[in-house]
Amino acid sequence: MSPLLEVTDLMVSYGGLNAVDLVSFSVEEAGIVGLIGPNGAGKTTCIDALSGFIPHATGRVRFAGENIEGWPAHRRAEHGLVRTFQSVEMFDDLTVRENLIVAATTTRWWSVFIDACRPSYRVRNIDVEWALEATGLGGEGERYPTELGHGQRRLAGLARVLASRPRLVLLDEPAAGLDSAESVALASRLRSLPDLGIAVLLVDHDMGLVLDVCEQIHVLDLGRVIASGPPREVRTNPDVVEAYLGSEADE
Amino acid sequence: MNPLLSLSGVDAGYDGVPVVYDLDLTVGEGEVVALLGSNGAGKTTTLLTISGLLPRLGGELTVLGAGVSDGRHRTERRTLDLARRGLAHVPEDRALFFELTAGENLRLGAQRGDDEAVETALESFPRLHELSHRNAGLLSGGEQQMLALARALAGRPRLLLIDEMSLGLAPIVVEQLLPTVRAIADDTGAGVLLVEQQVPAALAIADRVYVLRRGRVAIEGNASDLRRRRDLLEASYLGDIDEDK
Amino acid sequence: MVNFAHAALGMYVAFAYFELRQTGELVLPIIGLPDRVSIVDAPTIETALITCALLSAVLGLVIYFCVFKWLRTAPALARVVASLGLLLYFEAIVELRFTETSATQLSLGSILPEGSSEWFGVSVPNNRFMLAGLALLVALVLRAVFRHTRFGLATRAAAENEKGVLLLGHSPDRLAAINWMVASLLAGVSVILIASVTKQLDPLATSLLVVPALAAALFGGLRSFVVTALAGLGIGMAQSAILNFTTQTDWIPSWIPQGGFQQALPFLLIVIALTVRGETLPGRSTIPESRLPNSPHPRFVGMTTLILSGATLIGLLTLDSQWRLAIVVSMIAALIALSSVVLTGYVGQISLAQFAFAGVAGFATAKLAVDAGIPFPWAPIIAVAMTTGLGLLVGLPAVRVRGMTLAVATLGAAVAIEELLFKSSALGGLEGQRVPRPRLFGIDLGFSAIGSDNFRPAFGIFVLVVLVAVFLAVANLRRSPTGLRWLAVRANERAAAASGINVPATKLSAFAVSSMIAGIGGVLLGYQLEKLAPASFTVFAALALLALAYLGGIASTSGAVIAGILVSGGIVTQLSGGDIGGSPDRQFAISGLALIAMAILYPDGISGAARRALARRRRLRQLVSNNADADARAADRSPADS
Repeated sequence: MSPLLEVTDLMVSYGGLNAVDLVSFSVEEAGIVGLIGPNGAGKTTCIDALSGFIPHATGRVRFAGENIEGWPAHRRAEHGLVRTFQSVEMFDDLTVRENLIVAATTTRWWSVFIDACRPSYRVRNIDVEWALEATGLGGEGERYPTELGHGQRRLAGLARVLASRPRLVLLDEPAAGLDSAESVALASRLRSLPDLGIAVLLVDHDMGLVLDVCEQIHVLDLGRVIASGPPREVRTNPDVVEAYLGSEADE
Repeated sequence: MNPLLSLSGVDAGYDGVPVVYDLDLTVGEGEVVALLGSNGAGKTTTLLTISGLLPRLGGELTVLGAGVSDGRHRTERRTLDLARRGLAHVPEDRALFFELTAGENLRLGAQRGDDEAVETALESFPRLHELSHRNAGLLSGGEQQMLALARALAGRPRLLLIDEMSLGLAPIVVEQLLPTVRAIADDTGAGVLLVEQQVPAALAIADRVYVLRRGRVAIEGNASDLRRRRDLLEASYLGDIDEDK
Repeated sequence: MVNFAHAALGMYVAFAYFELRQTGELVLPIIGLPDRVSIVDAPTIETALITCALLSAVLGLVIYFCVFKWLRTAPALARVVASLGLLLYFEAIVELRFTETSATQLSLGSILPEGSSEWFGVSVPNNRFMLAGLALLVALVLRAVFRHTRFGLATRAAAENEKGVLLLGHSPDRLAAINWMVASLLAGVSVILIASVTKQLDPLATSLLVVPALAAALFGGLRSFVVTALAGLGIGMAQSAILNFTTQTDWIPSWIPQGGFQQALPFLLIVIALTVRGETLPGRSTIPESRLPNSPHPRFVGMTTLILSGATLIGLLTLDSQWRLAIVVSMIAALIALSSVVLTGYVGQISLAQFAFAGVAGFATAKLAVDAGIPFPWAPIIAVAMTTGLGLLVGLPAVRVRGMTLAVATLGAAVAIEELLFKSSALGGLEGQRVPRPRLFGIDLGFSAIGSDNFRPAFGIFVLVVLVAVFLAVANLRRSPTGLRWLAVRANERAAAASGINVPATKLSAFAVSSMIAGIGGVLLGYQLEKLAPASFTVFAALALLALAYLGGIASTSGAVIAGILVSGGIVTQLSGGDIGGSPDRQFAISGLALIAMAILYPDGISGAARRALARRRRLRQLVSNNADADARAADRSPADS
């Protein structure tokens, strides 16, 4: 069986500088893959390119049996390839539940006319309720994102991508700014995603989280993959220690 | 000797609603003080109030020898005044000018015509030398943080406030930056108030530590004592969660 | 920031200059101060020029410290509203204080030397070259200043991150004040020079110079002085070339008004510039530009509609004819304002072309009915459909640009539509186009009664029915998934795309709905006026209505209703007996000031301010109880603490 996501020779350059340089990897159906590397290694650029935010990225990207290179971001999202952002980026004017509804519903061009004639639309979307429960935000649906604490905002960002019932989520530093307790809670939620049939590509600085959660890890440095393998191997790989962990690996 | 910064019974917060209560804190010359605590404990709020970006809600606040008695109004004047008298604040978002080059950023941080200070600041961060003609927006996260620190140094600060230096940075970068902060305090005699998520890193360079919990000081002490008493720190800092290291 | 009153300020200063040269008196622009002060008996060119340069600089300072200083952290739209208020004020003050001004026929000697030279067979006056050279020189000097001096660097830094410059000890206030001074001085002096060369100074046309000027600035990416100056010169030359060309050839259809192409050119250039520069999605480090007021979930829609429409119905049936007119004017304005609520309030796309859409629908209805003989319900329906198509077209730049840049592009579109279509002889030119009375199932829905000058309630009820239908539809949309998607795009385009929203299509759908609503408003306005002229749909009227809608509360349906009530000639005018503060010009000046004051006092609009006050009280109460909880819990655990 071919993998869910297959990336071959992905390349992004800005002004002569190759931010992502011939990167290839794959994510299996319901797998958890980590993407790590020092600052400026091109991790976020990778996520931007895979989710359709960098139109000039080159290379082959196959997702769920289709070649998706050149697809705009929204089309990839509709096909089940979704992402989160480092800075969460909630829709602050909408309640948490409404944020999720946006992601969970699809519209057609004629929806405007139907919506204009339908008074008092009450959404009870099962995907939305499921995503709120799955992230432990069941009680916060009516609150606004600005009223939530930082940790809950991050969870809300996760809930929003889950509400669209994705096949693969690209998570960009979901643990940034979380304290240790919140980080631990997040890890257990992430580990439960494959059971729900959702594959994960995880980018984070929190080595504990990545080593703990992922089955397979790819290490980027200066836009290239310098090592790949299960957590234990990557952790002891001398190249990785050199490039990323520095002296901390001694601990 | 008078401390560079002293807070006594200070309340701080947004829109008149305090999130930090009754805070007592001092920073002396050449001293590195770490302000720790979990998310939402009120660390950033404290820094913003000290530099005048937020109005102080109560208590006594003395910065660089001058009492602050302006209440809720005209905080902008106070920020300007403090900046000119030698307070440098590196905020959480770094507040760099992305459209200007790294060199131009540094120049704006220095006093008028003080090119020497720019040079000295660059010496602390050799990496920035080669990047000084590149737009700040094109630098990587770690380079941007270096630039923010260098820009603060270029103003020859007497008191340095640094917010969340390690946020979004790889551990190796943090390990390079923190000793630089220690060196600044030792070499120039400037006081440093450091807000930090990464407790071990902060403990490694700080002289004294305050831990905030829900807007109040939970622990206060020497960094060396706290390094030895990890249990005490973790109980307060991590709450009821099991330690995982 | 983008200041729509910039050319208007220059226009005022130029008037002051020519008045000073002739009479030796300096006319002051501030109501309350004496009208004019005597400077010298017979000022030379130098004294007059220096005096007026000083006057512009001082004006710039006054404007900054009285108006824009207070709006530094306000949403971009609040600043637009304030600059529109300023524009109205300068227009009015020129009409008021230069009553018999000489400046319309400028017989004074030119400031720059006369004489001309031959280029490619065309005689070009030398002073044009000097003017162009001067503009380039100024651009080069400015470029040097902003590249290399500390002041220039700090200004650029402040434009990007005010907190950053503040923390480094540079006063953003001082920087802004100096820049305002310099910009105003340049505006004043350049309009004086231009007027002395072209020997023309028309209050309205000069104020609209801001459109080609902004087009040039957009070419420079609002950043490069030299590119901007070159683009400005290019636009000017292309405009004269077009004028030459159109007067010499005869294959251009005669219905296109003289000078139409010339005026439409900036819009085309804006569109080209923006399509080349824009990006479909903002980049990672893009700073979000225009914060907009919260869009509240509409509550009690049925109840509000019932009460308001009931009251209106009673008013229409019981009050006198003048009141009926006022109510109808308010209702139609509310309808057009609703189109702004959808587009600007819900989707965050600032459009200054809503009146142009209304005009297109109005004229099209009349044309279809009179020339093609299409009967009532069909003519306006076809017209509104056409307008919707046009709205989609004008909305195209929105796919790639956002914020103030889009506002400028739509302003260019509005000017182009006005000059090319509304002034066309095929639409009656300046004389106007008759609009036939609407008639449905044999019932006459016309506004004026035949044979008397009373207004008929039937038309008012017709308008009310349409307004209620559109109002409910908009309220429904706000609560539907479509509305949520609109708000999502407004809040964050990148996150919206990541949530599976087709951002360009969503923006265009909003443009379509919005221009449809504006079109409906325009059709009704046509039926109300019974004769449409270019003056029925001026750009200025559009700016004024957007300002009112913003003040009412751009992000809520109630805001549109408030705008309708406030509109000039509407219910508030009628309530105040039709005359506030004397002459119409004085009224304009005062309403300009009122706009500025409201923008400063309520940067989020009136309804927003009310809601925020409520929300803040609620949050305070919540916090107090939370803290009490936390304290209680802390006390439980460690009694020693407390």
